[in-house]
Amino acid sequence: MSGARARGRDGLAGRVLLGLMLPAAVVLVWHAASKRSVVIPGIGAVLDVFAHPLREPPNLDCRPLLETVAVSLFRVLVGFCCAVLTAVPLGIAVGRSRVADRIVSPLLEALRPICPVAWIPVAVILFGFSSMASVLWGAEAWRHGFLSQIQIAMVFIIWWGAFFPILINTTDGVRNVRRLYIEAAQVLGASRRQVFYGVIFPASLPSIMTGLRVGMGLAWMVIVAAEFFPGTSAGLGYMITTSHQVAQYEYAFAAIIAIGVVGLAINAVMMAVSNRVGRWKEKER
Amino acid sequence: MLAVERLSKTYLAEDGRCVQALQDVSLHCAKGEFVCVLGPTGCGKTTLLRSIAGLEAPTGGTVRVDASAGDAGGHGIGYVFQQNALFPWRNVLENVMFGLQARGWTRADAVGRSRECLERVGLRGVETSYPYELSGGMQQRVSIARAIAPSPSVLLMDEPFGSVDERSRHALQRELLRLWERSSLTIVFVTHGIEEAVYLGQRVVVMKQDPGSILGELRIALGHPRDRMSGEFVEGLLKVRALFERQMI
Repeated sequence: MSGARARGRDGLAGRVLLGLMLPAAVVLVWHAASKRSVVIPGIGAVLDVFAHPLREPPNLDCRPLLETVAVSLFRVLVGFCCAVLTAVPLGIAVGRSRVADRIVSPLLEALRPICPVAWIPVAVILFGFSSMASVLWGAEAWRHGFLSQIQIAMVFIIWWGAFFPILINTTDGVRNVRRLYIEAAQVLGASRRQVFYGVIFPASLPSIMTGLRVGMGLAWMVIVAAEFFPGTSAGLGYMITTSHQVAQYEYAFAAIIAIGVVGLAINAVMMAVSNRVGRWKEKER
Repeated sequence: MLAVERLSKTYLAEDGRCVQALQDVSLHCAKGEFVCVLGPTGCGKTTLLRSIAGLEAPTGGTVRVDASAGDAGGHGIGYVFQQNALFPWRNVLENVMFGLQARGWTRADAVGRSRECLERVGLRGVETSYPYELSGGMQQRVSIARAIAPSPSVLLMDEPFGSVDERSRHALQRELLRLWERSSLTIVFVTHGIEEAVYLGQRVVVMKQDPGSILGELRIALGHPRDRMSGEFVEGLLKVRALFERQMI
């Protein structure tokens, strides 16, 4: 097995070639379409946007591409962290205690189907234009440009989106810890606390990581949708809507590509962490 | 050392039937004894072991484990499960260390003692491996090392070599005897293999099922290691088998 280099379709060159086929086709189609259409921007124009990520878009009331990406990403990260800090402990409690499950589940099951974007009007009314900056610095918020773009309403929507997958996966993970491991720990003299930190938590970590991965992916999708609505003046979704309004579609396309690329990067990171943490789980018989 | 007095265990099955897993089971083991509990599947031998270990609460009777007579600060009970119960997220050394860490040992001490126990079960060079990387026989050795690390006075083993091939099983049996002879461990070894029971045990306690109870017991007055081909061994085998088959009545 070792020593024989994979050839043809299985080799690295082969895989890269196959993987590039579709993107290359897309680029060709795009190029042809842009020549025939006024609306679809040329590849060159879009690449130009990427080449100058710090340049303020000339006709758009929008921050430069890099800052736009940063705003969207930061909103997601803050919302995601809030989701992790709330959903994981709750998931553990619900997974361990049937009583907690019976108390909490009916409400959660009723709330779960409500997609995060549905909350936007309510969130905007509830939270107004309060942002991280206003929370931290009150009246001086206007001095902190970046953090005043991280609106609480946005963070809430992200939190809602990531909360449920994380909660469900955590609960599942905790519930499905094999009794055998718990008993082995008990018979080795572990206290209830030690059983939790030494067995239940590590055993449910792979499931929790899956929840985090799904939650993060969902959060990234949600933020773009949320930024389509009034209540924000920054972010990738916002860039798409504004560039549409002034018909400068190279910014919309650049934003869309950025969404894909950043989403891919986020997922790659989450998968790498997930695989490391969950390596033993695949081998569990 | 180990005193089980009139242990009974009933529980409600899913279909509402009252199942008597154990009825009036009494077992006494002296310090350092190797006792085999032999019986067919479903005779309650696992329930007996779990009750002794405290994993199940009996409906009647008592269990007393005399920990004070153990070696080097013995702490009672070690348990080796039938299935592989090693923690898959921990490597071999960390698995063996678990019981020690639970008792507040420092990391350095725990590592030292764990290495010693791994040596005693004949394992070398697998400290940083993970359980899934090991063969079944090696996994059971690690399980034994983990169980004896906190110096228990009683070692309970539930068909530990059941899923291992015959050759490895014989090797594990010899290792276990070697381990036992060098310690003052009291071992209660559950099995459904007559030959294994006669090979290992100083006493063989035979159980029957429905309800789970003790049919009788036989003393195997042979030294260790035993020759499976010898006349005395075969004689012991036949006697145990005769007792074992009485439950077909």
